[in-house]
Amino acid sequence: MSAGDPTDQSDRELEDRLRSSFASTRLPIAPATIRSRPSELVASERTVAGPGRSRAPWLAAAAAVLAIGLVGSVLLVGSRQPSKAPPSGDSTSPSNATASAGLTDALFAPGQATSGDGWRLIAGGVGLRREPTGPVAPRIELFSGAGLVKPREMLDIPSGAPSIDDASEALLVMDLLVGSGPGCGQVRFDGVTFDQALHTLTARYTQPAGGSGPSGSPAGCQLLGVPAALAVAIARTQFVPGEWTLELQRSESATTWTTIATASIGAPTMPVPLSEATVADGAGSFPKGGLWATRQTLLSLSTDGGRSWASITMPVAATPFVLDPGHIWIASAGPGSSQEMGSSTDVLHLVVDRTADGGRTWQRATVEGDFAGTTPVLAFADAQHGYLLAAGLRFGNGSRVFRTNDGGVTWHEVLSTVEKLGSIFGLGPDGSLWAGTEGDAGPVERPVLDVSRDGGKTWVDARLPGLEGSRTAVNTVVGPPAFFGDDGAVGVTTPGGDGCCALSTFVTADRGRTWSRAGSSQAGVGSSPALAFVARGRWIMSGPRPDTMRVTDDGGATWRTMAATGLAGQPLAWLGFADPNAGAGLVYLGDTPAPEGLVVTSDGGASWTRASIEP
Amino acid sequence: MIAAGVITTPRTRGRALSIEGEGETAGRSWFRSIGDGELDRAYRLAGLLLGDAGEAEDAAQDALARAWHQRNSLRSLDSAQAWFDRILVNICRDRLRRRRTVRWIPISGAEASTAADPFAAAIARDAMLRHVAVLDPDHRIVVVLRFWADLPLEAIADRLAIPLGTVKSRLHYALRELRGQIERSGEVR
Repeated sequence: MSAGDPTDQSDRELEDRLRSSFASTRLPIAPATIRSRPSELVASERTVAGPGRSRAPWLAAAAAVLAIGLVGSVLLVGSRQPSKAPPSGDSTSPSNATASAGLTDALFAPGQATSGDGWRLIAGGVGLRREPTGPVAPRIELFSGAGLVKPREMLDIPSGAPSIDDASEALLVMDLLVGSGPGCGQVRFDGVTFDQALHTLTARYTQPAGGSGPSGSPAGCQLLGVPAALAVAIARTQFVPGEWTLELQRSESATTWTTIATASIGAPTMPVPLSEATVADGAGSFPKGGLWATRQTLLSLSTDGGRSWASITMPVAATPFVLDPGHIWIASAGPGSSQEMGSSTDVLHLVVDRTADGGRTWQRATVEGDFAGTTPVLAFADAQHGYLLAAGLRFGNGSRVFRTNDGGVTWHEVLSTVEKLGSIFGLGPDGSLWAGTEGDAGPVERPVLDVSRDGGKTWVDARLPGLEGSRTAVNTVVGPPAFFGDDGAVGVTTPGGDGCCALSTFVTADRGRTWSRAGSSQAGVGSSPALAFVARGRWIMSGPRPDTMRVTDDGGATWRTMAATGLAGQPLAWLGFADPNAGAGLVYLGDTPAPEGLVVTSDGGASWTRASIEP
Repeated sequence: MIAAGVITTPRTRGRALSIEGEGETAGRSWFRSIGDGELDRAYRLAGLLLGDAGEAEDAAQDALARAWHQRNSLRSLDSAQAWFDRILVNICRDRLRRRRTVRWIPISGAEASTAADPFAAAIARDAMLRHVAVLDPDHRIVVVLRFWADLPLEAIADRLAIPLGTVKSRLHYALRELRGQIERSGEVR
């Protein structure tokens, strides 16, 4: 019998039984939290970009729910503090530092300590997450150093719940199950004290009657392979930097307290405040220390590694190609275009706007024809010579390549094909053109990475080892190959691995004529990881945790993990470097979907501060 | 003279162009039009794959969030179902695989049992579904997509981004495993 082509009687019977079992089983309907979600998401698009949203209610609600959920425990230690400016020296006022829907507001780098009787205190890495908008309950997620602790369900925020002022600082501590085996009890916290001067948090608990909290035998209470875990949810609107300590104290009489474990936890990181000025739509790097970022029609440029930025206004809100601060091109949909659905039944007229004087004046060229079902991408070698690739989308009719020799005034077609070149488009130092697959709904039917060495007329498979001949759209190229002289590197994500995707990196020493596999990683890689080829052999990518980066200096042979401060526990969506020290990133300003904020580093990714895109 | 030393690698928020002032993409249209039927289907698919209502809810939420973030990658409403299924199934698959190393610990304690879980209960009531629930994640996914969602093998291959032959072989091995389970459990057919 051939696999999956069941012909014999018993297979058909089994299939019928399966169908009948599925058909006769009554399954629940989606709860309200899911039903309300699509409209919330559509609504969030309109609201997140707006300035000056209020932020206190969600925090207050979280506090109230916790307080109500843990009757009899002292849970809130609120101390009014004057608002502090973020450590970046940024002048944005706290009231403008809006906590957006879904913003993870905080947190500590994990720390841990072991007590004398074998219990381990794990603290930090704590986040408070709120699902967007409406009456949906805030949900607290606790990330202990050892894994995830599932949040207590918290529903129905009562009206008239006590509120916490924006400027106050509140600590929220939850009761936790310590371990899950037989004989394990719940640790009921009696209170938490918070000494800001000493940077100490003290969590106190009493021994539950008949229970076996941390003083009992830990043997049956394995939690994720460690004797016990303690997680403390801390939600505050402002943090002060410094080293923090968390003490776990025990009492059997409730009058005397013994410290059984002390964990030093990392300096709290500042949430990156979301403000109108921070949000970025896109970002990129260009030679000689250049970084750019856009927000709607604003294009901000930095030529000093992100220390200072100057904005110009683009004629359209679209992705620019920045050669240098003087020379910028933008391809976009021109007059007469219909709504662009990526379908060949659309009408898409392409225009290319250009400036040769740093945005003081813009000129527009129209590229003749209908480009329905394509995505336009640009690449320029110098101020005169460049290419426009109308990359073929899945439901389109094909791809076209144009060339300009006069800085974008006139465009000449060099290729029109029914094949679909990918939209990850770049130019090599020898004039080679590269087109890579972008996403699983993007270009298909071509190799993962295509190369043309005759100005776009013919394209061949770049033959990345292991991916030769692969024409599936699920392998995506992270960015066009980066070249440093004859050396180059490119990253590709493929399905599989324990996370969403595995990242494979490839290197060349002959300008991309032959490639070899540098390495692969399966740890925590999304389909579009933030990966930057900074210099020959030196690559940086975000992860594996939001507050760390991974760095290699030997072209991917060995990676080390480096702490990265200032990212507020939010992962990077994109990473680019203008030189080995100066870089920019787009950080998610909340759980996705969330706007992205521009952050910059001047020390190779170890510390980050936010940057603003302002007129 | 071609002089690009460093290639600009911009990162943008999706590739679909929008006309100024009327940026309605296929993805956004789909989100606007999505109804309870689609949401129920997503929730149930996740519940059958994960066997846990809480996880199904989280997975469906995550899938909606991820789909929203990638909404510009949806090129046509015609393919919306397959596009969203793929996102959801990937999330469920990630969760199933993660279970090997990370256990979820309910903070609220021992009262959190499976008795109140509608998916766990529905699955527990049916012998066949109990067998399906202990299949390897990849096998469970093809069985649910084939016999619950009633998808053709080609559509399953598309959603899982695997070759048709792999779908066939997974289904073959899944059925073989199910038959073995039934025989071991002593059920009469």
